[in-house]
Amino acid sequence: MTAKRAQGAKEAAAKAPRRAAARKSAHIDVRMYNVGFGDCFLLRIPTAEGERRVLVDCGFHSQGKGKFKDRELVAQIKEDLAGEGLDVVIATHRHQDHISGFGEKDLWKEIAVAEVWLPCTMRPGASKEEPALAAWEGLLRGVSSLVDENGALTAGATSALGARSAEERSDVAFMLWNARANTPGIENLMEGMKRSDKKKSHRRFLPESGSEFPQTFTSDALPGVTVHVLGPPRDPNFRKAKAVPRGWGIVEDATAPGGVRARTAPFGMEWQVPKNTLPSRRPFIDRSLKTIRGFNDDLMAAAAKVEGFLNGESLVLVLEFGGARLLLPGDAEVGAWMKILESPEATALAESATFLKVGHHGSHNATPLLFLKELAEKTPAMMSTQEGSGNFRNHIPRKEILDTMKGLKMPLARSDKPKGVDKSLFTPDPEDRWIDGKIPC
Amino acid sequence: MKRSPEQTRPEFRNLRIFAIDPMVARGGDHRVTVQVRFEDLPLITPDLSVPLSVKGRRVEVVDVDASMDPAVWYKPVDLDDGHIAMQHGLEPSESDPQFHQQMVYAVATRTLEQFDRALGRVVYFRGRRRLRLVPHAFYGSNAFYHPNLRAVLFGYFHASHSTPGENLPGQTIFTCLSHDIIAHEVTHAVVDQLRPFFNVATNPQVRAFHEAFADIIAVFQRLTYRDLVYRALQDARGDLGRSPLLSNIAAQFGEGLGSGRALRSALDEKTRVQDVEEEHALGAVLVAAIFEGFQTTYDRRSADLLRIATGGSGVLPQGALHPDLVGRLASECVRTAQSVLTMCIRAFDYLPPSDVTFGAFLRALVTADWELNRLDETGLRAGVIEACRRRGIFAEEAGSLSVNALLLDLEARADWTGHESTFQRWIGLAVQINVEEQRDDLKDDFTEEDAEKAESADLTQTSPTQSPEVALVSTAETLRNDIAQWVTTLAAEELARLGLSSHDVKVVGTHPSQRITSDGAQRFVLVVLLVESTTLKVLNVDRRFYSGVTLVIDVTGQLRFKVCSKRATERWSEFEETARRAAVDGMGWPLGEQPPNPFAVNFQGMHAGRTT
Repeated sequence: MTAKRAQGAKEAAAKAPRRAAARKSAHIDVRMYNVGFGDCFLLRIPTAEGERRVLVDCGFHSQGKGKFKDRELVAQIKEDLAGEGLDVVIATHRHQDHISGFGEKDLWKEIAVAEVWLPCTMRPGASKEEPALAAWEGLLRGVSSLVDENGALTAGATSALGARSAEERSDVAFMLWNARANTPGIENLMEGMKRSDKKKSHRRFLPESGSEFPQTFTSDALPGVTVHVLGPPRDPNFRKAKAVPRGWGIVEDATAPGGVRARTAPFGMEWQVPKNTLPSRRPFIDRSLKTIRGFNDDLMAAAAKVEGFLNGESLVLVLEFGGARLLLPGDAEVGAWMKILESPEATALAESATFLKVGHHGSHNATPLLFLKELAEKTPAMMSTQEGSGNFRNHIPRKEILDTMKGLKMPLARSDKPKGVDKSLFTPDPEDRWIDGKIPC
Repeated sequence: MKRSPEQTRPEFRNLRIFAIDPMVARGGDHRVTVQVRFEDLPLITPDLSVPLSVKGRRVEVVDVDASMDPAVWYKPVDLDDGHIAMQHGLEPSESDPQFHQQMVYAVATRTLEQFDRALGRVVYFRGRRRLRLVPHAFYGSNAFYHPNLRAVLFGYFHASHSTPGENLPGQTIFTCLSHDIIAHEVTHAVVDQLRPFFNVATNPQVRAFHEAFADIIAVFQRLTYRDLVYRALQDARGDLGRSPLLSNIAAQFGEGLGSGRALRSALDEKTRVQDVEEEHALGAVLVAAIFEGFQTTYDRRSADLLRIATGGSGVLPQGALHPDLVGRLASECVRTAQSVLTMCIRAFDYLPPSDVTFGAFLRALVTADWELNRLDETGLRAGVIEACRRRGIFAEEAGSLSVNALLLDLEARADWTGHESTFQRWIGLAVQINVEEQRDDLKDDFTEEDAEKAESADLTQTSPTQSPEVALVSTAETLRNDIAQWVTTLAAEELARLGLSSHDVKVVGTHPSQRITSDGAQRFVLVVLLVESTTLKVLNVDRRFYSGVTLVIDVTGQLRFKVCSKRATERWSEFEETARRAAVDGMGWPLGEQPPNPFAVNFQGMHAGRTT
C-alpha cells in the first residue's frame, strides 16, 4: 500500500467513527443461497426503524449444480421473507447467473420491493449518451441468439467455432448462456417490481452522477445505512476503449438475419485463379497458409469479450451500517478494480471492509492481490461458487486466492463446501441449501 | 526528358488510392493519385505458369485468402497493362480486389521511398528478399507485420448488422483499404529491418517506440498528399488545428481496425511520459509531441501568407479563402510534413542498435537534423524539442534540452587517430558499395536471377545474427569481414570505450548513406552496427539480451559519433523487475507455470492490445 493510500484510509476511518460499541450484540444477517455457479444473497439489517431486507442478485447458471433453479429460488426467498417485502433489490450486472431469478415475474408480483438498484449502464437512454454502449448492446443481442435456453449452441455458433475442441465449445456455451439476454428478468427489474402500495418501485441507476467518485448516498429504504458506489465507472471512456471488439464479424455472421451466413469469399469466381490451374510452386507454402488461417477471428474470443464487458458493468458497493462495512463487488473485473485502486478514497473504503463477498465466484480477475492483503486480518468472507471443469472454469475458485485468504486467517464460507465453515460465524443449512452468516455492526 | 524515340521508360508510375478509408469517410472525394518510382511489374513467371503475385523489387503483392480452406487465390493485377496504366491505375473501388492490390502496392512503395529519401540509400529487406503484402489474408479485424512470414497480413471482416456505425450494415470492411494501416504496418517491417534488435523489449519504451514511429510515418505521409491537404485546408479555412482532415486522421486511425481509438485526444492532451505506463498511451505521447512540433512550425510558416492575404491584419474575412492562398498554405503544410518525415527517419542512423528510448530517439533526431541543417531556419527542430520538453521526454545523459546538450557527443579525434586509415579504407569500400547498389537500383529490370535470390525459401529463418542488408553482396561482405577483423584487434580499453565487453561482436549492419545538407553540400557517412549478446538468468530463465554500438564514420575517416546501448549486465535487476511484473496478471496473481516472454515484441499482440 502506498503512503498516499494509507493516508486516505486513515482519513476515511476518521470520517466514519465506528459505532460498534453502542450496539454490542447487533449484527447483520447474511444468507448465501447455494445456487451453484451464481450469486444470491439476502441481507437483514437491524436499523433503528426495524429490520430492513436487501436482496443482492438472484441467479443461477444452467450448467450449475446448486440446490435451486429460478422458480425454487424465488419461492425460497419468498418463504424466508415470511410475508415481509424487500426494501432494496440489487442486480449487480446482467449476467444470467446474477439475474435469472428475476424473470419469474408471477412470483415477484407477490414480493413488495421498495427500491431497485441497477448499474448506470442500464439506465434508459444510456446508449444514446454513450455510443460505445450501443455497440455492446448490439453484440449482446447477437451472442444471445447463439445459444438456446438450455445452454446448447446453435448450428451457427457450432459452425463458427470450427475446429475448437468439445471442451472449448462447452466453455463458449457456458459464457454465452450467461450473457444471454434475460428479457423477462430485465423487464421485471426495470418496470415490473412494485412496492407494497402497488406503486412502481423506485429505480436507482448507480452511480447516479459522474462528478464524484466514489459516490455516496443514503436512502429512505435503508435508514442509517450509507451506500458507497465504487463501480461501475460512469466515465464513458472506460467502455469506449473496448468498443467494437474483435470477433464482431464472426458473431454477426452466425446471427445474420435469415439464418447463418455461410462465409464465402468476398470476391466472386471471376476474380479467382481457378483451382485446377494453380501452379505447384506458390508464394506461400501450405504450412504458411495454415499459420495465417490461425489468425482468423473466432467466436471464443468474442464470447470472452462479452463476458468481460458484462462483468465490467458490475456494481461495486460498500454498505456501511454502524461498524459494519459490507463490500459487495459483484463480478467486477480488472478494469473496474484498477479504477478503484487509482482513487485513494475508494481504495480506503474497499480496504476497510468488515465483510467481503468474494467477486466472480473466486476467479483470478475479480479480486486484486494487493487489495486482499490490505484487508484487516480475519475479515469474514463469503464465496458463492462451484468448482468446475473446462478452461474457463477450472481456475474457479482460484487456488492462490483461497491460499491468500487462508494466510490472512479470513473465515470463508463457500457455498459448495458448507461442511468446513467456521461455526462461530457461519451456520450452514442441514440440507446445504444456504449458509447464514452474522456480521457485527 | 525524352532524347530518342526509343527512350520511353517513364520515371514514375501514377497510381490512384483512397487517401482516407472509404469505410470511414463517406462523402467528399478522398481519392488521390500518388507517384511512385517506376519499376516493371510484368506478370510473367519463369516457367510460364499462372502468375499468383505482383512482384516489384522490394515488395510482392500476394492476394491469397487463407481464411478459407483451401485458400482462395485472386488474380494479380497487371499494372503494366496499357489500359490500366494510362488511367493512373484502376479506379478506387471497394469491390475490386485488384484495386486493393494496387493500393497496398502504391502505399507500401511510397512508404519505402520515404525511407530511401531520408536515409540516402535504397532500403532493402533482409537478403534482398521481398516483403509480401497480403491484402485479404485472413478473416478478422486486425492487420499486422509477421516477421517470420516476411509478410504484412491484412484482415477483413463484416460490419455489424444492428449497429453498423458509419458503415453499411453487414458491409465487408477491408483493413487493406486504409492508407494509414498500410503505412503503419510497412513501417513496422522497415524498422524491424533497420534495427532487428528492437525486437527485444528491454525497456517499456521499446514497444511504445515501435507503435509511435509507425503512427508518425502513417500520419505525416498522409499529410504529404497535396490534393487532400488542399481540400481540407479549404474546408477549415486554413486553420490546421480546426481542419476536419486532422480530426479525420484522429478518428480514422484505427477505426478501420474497429478501435475508434482517438489519436485526437492524444493530440489535445498534454500527457507526460511520466504520467502513463501502458505502452499504447506511452507511444501516443511521442506522436503528440512530434505532431505539436509540426503544427507550431506550420503555423509560423503560414503566418506571413495570412498577413499578405489580409492586408497585414492576419485576420481572415468571412467566406471562402482565395484558392491561391489555399494552394500556398497547402504547399507549406506538405513541405512541413515532409520535413517531419525526413527528420524522424533520418534519426535512425543515430539510434543505438538495441534498447531504444524516447530520449535516445530525441537525441538522434536532433543530431541527424543538426548535421544536415545547422540553422534550423524553419524552427521545426526547436518546435519538436519544445513539444518534447512539455511532455517530459528528455534524454537521461543529456544535461538539458538545449540543442547543444541534446547533440550526441562528438568523439574525441585523438582517441581514434590510430584507426583512421582503417576507417578510410572502410569508407572506400562503402563508396564502392553505394555505387554498386545504385547501379543495381537503376537497372531497368529486376532479372530472374535477382528474383531467384529473392525467393530461395518460403518461411524465412530469421536469425538475429544474420546481417540485414548485405548478405548477398560481395563488396559488402568484404567490408563486413574487415570490420569484424578490426574488432578483434581492439585493446580492452578501446572496447570499453565502445561499450563492448568482449571481442565476440557481430557486425549486424553497414549502411552507406549519402545526403545533401540544407546548403547543398554532399555528406557521405558510413553507419556501422556492432552487437554483442549476453545471456542472463532472469527469474531463473536464461534469456538473451543484445547491446552494442552504432558508429557513424565520416568521409575523412573520422569517427564522428558512437551511440552505445546500455550493457545488459548492468541492468539485470531492472530486467528481473520487468519479468516479475510480467509474470502476474493485472490483479497481481501469478500467470501460471510458464508466463509469456516478458521481453518479446509481438506485432500481432501489439495491435490486439490497441483494438481491445
